[in-house]
Amino acid sequence: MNVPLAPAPDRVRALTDATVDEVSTIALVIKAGAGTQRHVGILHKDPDDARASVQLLDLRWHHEVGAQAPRLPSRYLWAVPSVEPEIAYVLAKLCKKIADQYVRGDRRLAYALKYAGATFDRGAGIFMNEAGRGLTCATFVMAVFASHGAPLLHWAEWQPREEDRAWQAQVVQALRDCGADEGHVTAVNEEAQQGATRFRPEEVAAAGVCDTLPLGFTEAERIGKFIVERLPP
Amino acid sequence: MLFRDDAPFHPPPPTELGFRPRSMPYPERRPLPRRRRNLIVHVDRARHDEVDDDRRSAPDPQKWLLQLYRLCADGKRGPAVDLVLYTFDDLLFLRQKERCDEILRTADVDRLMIEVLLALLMETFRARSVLDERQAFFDRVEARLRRERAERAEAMLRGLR
Repeated sequence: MNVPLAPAPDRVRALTDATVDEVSTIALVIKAGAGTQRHVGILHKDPDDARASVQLLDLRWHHEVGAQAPRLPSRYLWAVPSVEPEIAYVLAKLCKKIADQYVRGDRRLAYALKYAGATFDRGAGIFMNEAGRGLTCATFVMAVFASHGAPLLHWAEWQPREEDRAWQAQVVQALRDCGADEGHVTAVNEEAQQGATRFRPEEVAAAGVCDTLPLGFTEAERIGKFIVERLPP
Repeated sequence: MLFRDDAPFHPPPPTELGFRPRSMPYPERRPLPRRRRNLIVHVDRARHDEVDDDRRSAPDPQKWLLQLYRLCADGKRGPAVDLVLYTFDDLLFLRQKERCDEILRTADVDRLMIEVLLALLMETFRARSVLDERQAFFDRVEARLRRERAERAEAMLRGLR
């Protein structure tokens, strides 16, 4: 696998008025949140419409998929994943379809911790949403790519990490506080207690820096730290 | 992290289809959004008055393919890819496996643009284990790509098997 030992800084760029027009189809974006929180999403642009604005597709929270133009200047960094242009073209169209369905349409997407690759109902092709089944901002991005044959990470290589337990407990409490269905909260809590694997936003964003996908755990973790060091506060 | 929950979460109910969906509750079926109706009207209404524009009814595979061929012949790549993505999403959503398979079995890969072929493979990727015709369709697409874009065929198809 061709993974740069020290990723070129110019592959992770600040999202500004000056750079946003360089997004031609899709890109990954990441920004720092409160404390150690970080948030990742997908930038996409209609490749057939030169006047179209870049849109940000992301899972913000429980039942809250976002799709809107990012405010500029922003605290986001962006990077373009290494996929063939024809694949990127279709992915950009897919992002618009997902926005139609989950933002402007009537489908909903739950927030949950466990990710095991099978994020779509194989028959119906919609995101799993049973109690306790859902996605985080990071696994949402992974799912969009992986469910359409363009995986960003070798997800099976990830293992639960002790330092993620506090974050997972915060998610469970936040779901409870926001009035999520009790069955869902209970299921997510069980996932956390059993030691759910966390895919960190920066590890997903790391896929934008590598020449060959999917990216393994060791490289993703290392490049993720590189990205975090460069995130604007 | 934003905390907002406008609508309570409901567990999946049994459906009139006689099985319990494994995923989210089925949303109420409703007419296509205006943008999608406009797509179909713009693309095809003049030539195919019988085109379905309601998600309750699935398109006739052969008429639908004719529509897709025409878009590709006219160089309308974006509308053609949109048509594939939205139609197959609806077909899979409605569990219309037979129609999906018929389209995949009868599609002439030489009359479709590369991005349209990839859209068909990408949109059906998640249902690959239940679509009997997808592998044969994949093989035909692969043969064409190896003919026309030999140096990048493997990279384009790597994750789509």
